Amino acid sequence: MRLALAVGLLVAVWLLDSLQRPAPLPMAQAEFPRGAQGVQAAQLKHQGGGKIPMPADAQAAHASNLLAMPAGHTAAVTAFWFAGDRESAPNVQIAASQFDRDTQRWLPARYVVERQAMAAQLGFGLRRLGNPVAWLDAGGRMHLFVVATGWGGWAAGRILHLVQRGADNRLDQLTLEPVGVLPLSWLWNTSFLVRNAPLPLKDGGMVLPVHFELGIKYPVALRFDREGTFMGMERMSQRNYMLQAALLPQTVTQWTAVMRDQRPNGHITAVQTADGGAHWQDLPDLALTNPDAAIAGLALAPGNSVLAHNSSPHSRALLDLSTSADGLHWAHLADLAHGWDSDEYSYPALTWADGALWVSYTDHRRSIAWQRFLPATGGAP
Amino acid sequence: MSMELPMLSALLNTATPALPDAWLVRMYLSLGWAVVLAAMGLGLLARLSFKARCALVGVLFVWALVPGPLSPTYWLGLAFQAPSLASVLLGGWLVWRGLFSRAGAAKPKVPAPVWWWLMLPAVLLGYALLLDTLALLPWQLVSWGFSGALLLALMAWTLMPWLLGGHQDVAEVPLWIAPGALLLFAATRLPSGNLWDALMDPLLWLLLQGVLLGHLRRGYRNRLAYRT
Repeated sequence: MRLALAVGLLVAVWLLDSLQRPAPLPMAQAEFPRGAQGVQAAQLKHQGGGKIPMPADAQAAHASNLLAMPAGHTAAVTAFWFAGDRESAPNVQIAASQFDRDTQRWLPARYVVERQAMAAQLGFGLRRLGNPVAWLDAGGRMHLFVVATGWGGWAAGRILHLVQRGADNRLDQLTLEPVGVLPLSWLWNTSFLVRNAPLPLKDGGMVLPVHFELGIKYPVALRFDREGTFMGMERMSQRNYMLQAALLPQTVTQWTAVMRDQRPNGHITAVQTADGGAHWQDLPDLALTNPDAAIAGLALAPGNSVLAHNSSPHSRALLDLSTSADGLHWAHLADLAHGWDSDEYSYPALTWADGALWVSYTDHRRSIAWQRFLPATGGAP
Repeated sequence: MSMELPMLSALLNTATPALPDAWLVRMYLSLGWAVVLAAMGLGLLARLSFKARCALVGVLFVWALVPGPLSPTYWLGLAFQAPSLASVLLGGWLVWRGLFSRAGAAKPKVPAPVWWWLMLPAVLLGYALLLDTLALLPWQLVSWGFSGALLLALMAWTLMPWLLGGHQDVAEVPLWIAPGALLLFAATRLPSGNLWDALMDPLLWLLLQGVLLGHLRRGYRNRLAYRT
């Protein structure tokens, strides 16, 4: 009798579980930016830049992220960053601005994620906000992933997934609501952070690089389907000092991920996958030095990638743009910002929109600077 | 054969997680902590009169349901997210026992099969999950929490003490808590969509270690007393 009941319970559990599971996704295949094929990174020339407007009361800004908007939208690019009195200040919120296609100017910035409001919707407290990363799903809905800390500093961070409410994502209409905290760790979901842009996939989904950073640092790739539903995770390295991966596809299924190195006198580190992120192998360090600083990478086309990175081994005063055919060997393309030792130009972000490469970065933790690079042969924005 | 392989493949797949709905998570967060807090309150003040115990449970329950920073849920969620389903079921049973059972304030007993089939494996599992979080294991244990195969395997495992002819005495911790948590997880995906979070949270893991250490210490003392 007991055995029959136990078997019945097992069948019930199996049925309940199977009915709720989504269908498995096919192997991830990278999507390269539209309009970037045929553009040689070496031909990109600086064509404008400046500062993105800040919210009126913000004294500090950091960790920007750029999102290319679809054709037909009023904006070419949306920029997100965190702003407030200082990094980790209680009043830090997520700010955003859009580059208006008509006026060719950035719109006045506004806050789009407020800590207390998100906490009220979630039902539990959020101590600090940071590192926004945006993505458009197959339906054009905007998703935003931000670090929201529990008790402790950044190492107590969790990744909060937000999604656009309503149909309009023009800056003045943009409203975001929480989907939830991504379930990445048994230890109260603690210490997973997001920083770099996702890799769009041909199926309309994406792969989001995140990292663990409580004591040790290791990268993890998260898969999302075309509607932005979480579909699993894969650890990217066996090493424990690598974080903030930038995903650079060489082909649709063969990708390199380059990363910030936490070690002193470190170099940019790398891993690769040949099966769309299902399995990863560690690679030798790259020749590029890395002063424990964030990097940003973007593959424009197969064999054609760009990387924004701090090139000095001991400071964040030099921010450069480099280009590579294989994601491993890089050549200097342009100086993005060069200062003295105490200067800081850091946390770059890249995107491709309206036939141009867009770069943003933190300028002395006080503002977000931006630059645009166009192919030398033309290509109107 | 052609049917069996896809079914096995689907069961082993860790890339088809089903997550709970946001509204359900929000509701569970408050209700879960309300039950756990009520159980803790009763545990601390078990010798109160029946009316006082009812009032205590009511106050703690309502307090946990209050929205915003005045609620303990707001701060417990900030630090610990949501309690596991097993913690909530255990808390619910303790509240029921503390209010309505004749066993009353007596310490719950742990039947023998539970030690070997549930408590000890759970404590060891917690260490494995901790090591996995720190990437000190060669495999990704946390990902297995998204697979259907693990759910079935754990369901079968947690039913074993009952199948092997468990008790039930009302003074004993019931055998249905772990399988009940798994059944609820299969139905609701709470609290996070990952099976490990449903089965055991780190606070429950710490509690189990305390109970296990207490049991071992008592056993050691009893042996010493027997020898002398």
